[in-house]
Amino acid sequence: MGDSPSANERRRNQAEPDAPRDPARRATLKKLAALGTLAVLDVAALSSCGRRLLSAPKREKKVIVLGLDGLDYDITARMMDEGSLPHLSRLRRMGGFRQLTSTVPPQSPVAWATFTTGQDPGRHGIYDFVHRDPATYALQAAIAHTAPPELTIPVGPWRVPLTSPKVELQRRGRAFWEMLGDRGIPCEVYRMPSNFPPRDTGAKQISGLGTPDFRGTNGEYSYYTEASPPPRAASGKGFVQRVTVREGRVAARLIGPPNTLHREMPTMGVDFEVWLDRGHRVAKIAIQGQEILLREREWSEWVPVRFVLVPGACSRSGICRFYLQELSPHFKLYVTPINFDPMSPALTIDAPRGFARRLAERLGRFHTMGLPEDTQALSEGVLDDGEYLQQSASVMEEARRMYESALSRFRRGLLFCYFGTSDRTQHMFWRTQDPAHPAYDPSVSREYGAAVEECYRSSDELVGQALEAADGDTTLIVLSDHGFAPFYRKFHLNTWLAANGYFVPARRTRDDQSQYISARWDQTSAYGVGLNGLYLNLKGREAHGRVAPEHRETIARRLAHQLRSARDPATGARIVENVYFSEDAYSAAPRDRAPDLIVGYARGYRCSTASAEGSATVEAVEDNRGKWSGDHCIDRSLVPGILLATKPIRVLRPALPDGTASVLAEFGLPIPDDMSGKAIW
Amino acid sequence: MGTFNTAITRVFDLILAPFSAHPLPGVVAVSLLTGILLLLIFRYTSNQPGIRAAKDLIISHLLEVLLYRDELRVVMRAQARLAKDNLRYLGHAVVPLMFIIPPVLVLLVQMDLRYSHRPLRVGEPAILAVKLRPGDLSPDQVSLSVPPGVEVETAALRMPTIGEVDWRLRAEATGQHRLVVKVGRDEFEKLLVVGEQRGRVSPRRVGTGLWQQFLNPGEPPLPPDGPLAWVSVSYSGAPFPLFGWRLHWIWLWLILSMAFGYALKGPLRVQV
Repeated sequence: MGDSPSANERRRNQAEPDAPRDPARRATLKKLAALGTLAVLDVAALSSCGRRLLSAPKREKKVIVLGLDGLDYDITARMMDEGSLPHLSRLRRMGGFRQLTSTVPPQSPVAWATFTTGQDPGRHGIYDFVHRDPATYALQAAIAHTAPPELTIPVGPWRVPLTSPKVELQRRGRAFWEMLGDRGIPCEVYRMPSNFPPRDTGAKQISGLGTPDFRGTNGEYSYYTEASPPPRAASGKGFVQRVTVREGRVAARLIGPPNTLHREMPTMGVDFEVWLDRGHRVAKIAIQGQEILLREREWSEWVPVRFVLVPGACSRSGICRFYLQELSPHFKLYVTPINFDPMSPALTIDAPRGFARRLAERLGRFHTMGLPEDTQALSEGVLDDGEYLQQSASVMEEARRMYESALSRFRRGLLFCYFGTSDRTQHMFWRTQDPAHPAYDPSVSREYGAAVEECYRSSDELVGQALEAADGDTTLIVLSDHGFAPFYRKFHLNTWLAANGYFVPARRTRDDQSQYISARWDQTSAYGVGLNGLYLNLKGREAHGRVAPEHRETIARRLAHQLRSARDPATGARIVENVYFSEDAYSAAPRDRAPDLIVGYARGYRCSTASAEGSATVEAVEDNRGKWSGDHCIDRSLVPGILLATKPIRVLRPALPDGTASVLAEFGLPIPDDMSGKAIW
Repeated sequence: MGTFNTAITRVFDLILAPFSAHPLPGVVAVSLLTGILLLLIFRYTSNQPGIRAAKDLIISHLLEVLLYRDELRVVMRAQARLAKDNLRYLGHAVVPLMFIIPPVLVLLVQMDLRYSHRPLRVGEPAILAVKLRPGDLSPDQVSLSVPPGVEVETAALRMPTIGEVDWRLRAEATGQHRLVVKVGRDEFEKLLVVGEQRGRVSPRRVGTGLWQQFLNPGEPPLPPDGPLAWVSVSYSGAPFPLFGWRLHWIWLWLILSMAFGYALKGPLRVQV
């Protein structure tokens, strides 16, 4: 088996000189050789058949899972009925269309971690976007923790690391592609949320939601303007610089991350200049030997920028895009948050190592941040609606290129592709399609009112491409992690807790950028962190705990009751739909990081960002007039996701872990005991 | 200089013609030729007996240091002689170096013309920059016309303080396109190479200055009394993918030519 004819021929030629001369002996040997050959062939054939019978059908199986973040069941159903989503409608006819029950709380990091592991948050350990450290009350990113090198030696102003800095994925539990990989099933997983940094388990992976920008944040843009910046941008999270134009030239600095190898950790930067021709409305950006010529209101491609940690010895590469917003009357230049350069990522964004580089070589550089659309810049008035949608379209285009490339090379195993633009578009443009929204503006609605439906149509096209690529051996599963709802009113949970005597805020100065919850802990018995989490200030767990463990249940029940009874002072409507006790909502015993209560808000309400970051404001409830106008961090019963498949779905009310179990079942793998799902067919 | 450049470029075209399919064999072949050529130059221009004698003395001093390592005075004296004979050895390399530098410079310039940049790909943008000589000319007097297969995507970016005008172009068809820069009534051409096939790529066409002309041999020089100092196209670099790294050709050439030189110095009987 496997011998080439030339090899056989060679062997025959080599054998001939020693062939026996006696004809009878030669005949016997021939017979023996023929029998031997037959025997070998039989064994080979049997073995081949056996392999095929035992495992080949599963090995040849193909499963494509398309993760469409935030596609809402009701909107999808309506648009399918209207005939706007032909491919999803076709899928509905093939296998059915179900509401997919999300997690408690229905947040993307939590829900996708549940889909990844088939476990609830109590087991996988991702409860929210933000966690808190009970020892310090510091806010922490839920998905990944970073720690500086443990050992360094000082050399002049530098700190030479002797050990590597640590970036650790906080999600516990095994991903389903690890289980498939154990059986030799090839997997490609593109941009799965809560998977940063990806663990090298044999599957090809690019990290998704949770991957920070080059500075380690969720995305900090840079903005250079000759005029006064928008008021919200001036106090916002981006880097806003006032610049002056001299002799048709602007000199500026792109702000990078802190230099962690320097004793004083100064912020690194890259100087660049812009040459302006206001008459012809073009400008040239010159940065690190690269020149980019842009028309007014035009975006650049990705531009690599190198930040020097130790001159001549150590540097790190990032990438950014420039947007020449205005040349006249005022020069305005926007720069995206700096992403890792997929050609040489500073942190692990791929597995196996080099996968991102190979993709970038094939498809061009691409965004690596988990939240690539700059919602912050839109919220702070730096980008307008049209500019944001241009950026969003280019993000989608990059993701689609990667998806098409993966589909074209997909032969067997599992392919998972995630798309998040649908989620962000609904967050930012719900106000344009909902006249009841406080931020609704008819003129904006006329121009951008179709943005949300447009992203559903784009999602439908993705489904169409997958259907086209699927053959008889392919199972296609399309799912979303949660649905969507309007975000009319902001609920300041900590303010409400303060009004009800549970929380005593500490004074925070205006410039205080600290990442700590500011409370007087000796007087605080409960505090809110994250978009749905409510913690008791528990003795023995929190550093300055006040609530004795024996009183935990009583206080928690009282709080839950009060929250369920809370009414909006302006409308009298219920603010909270449901309150969950973590020990009831999660199968495993809650750990230190789990909130004691999870607040499921009523439709139209959501926890305010200030409260999610541990602050308190003056009023408990206020109108949401921001551009972030749609949301899903409410009660999970109000925002079901969608589930469709090419195979008939037998389960009536599937939940996210059922999706995981179904993928394993498609490959004939047993469902592990710590998984809560069951196959949907 | 124009004639010299043309002649040398043709010689290199001939040498590299068999390796036009892929740049790597070309670099390997040139590295081999470089190794042989440098060894031969070294053999016939250096004091070979002197080099051998200097090397023998260096080895003897090293042995001295090893054998008499307990006797500080002997070791110190040997170290001093080691330094002196090292200098003598290096001194023997000065004359051949004089003979080696010119052909190596020519070789580097010709290699740079072929391997530093790649042609534009269809759909890829590039910046055409025109630099005016200091004088009375204004960037407003400069215009550009392009043949079919090239699109001008932006209006001219005029930078009067540095006398430069830029455009962004996009290649739409493969081929060698002649861009025409007009300054008043004068017209100047710049070649734009588009395609997947590697070959000569001249990023800059220059005017006066012999050294500049020597460094940019890909196109004939601009008229010395004309209004333009140079015209350039921002081609992308073309690093060699090698074992996961992306190397500039010069590193590959340096390593290979040294390796070939080291391997062939015995057969060619050269003392280095």
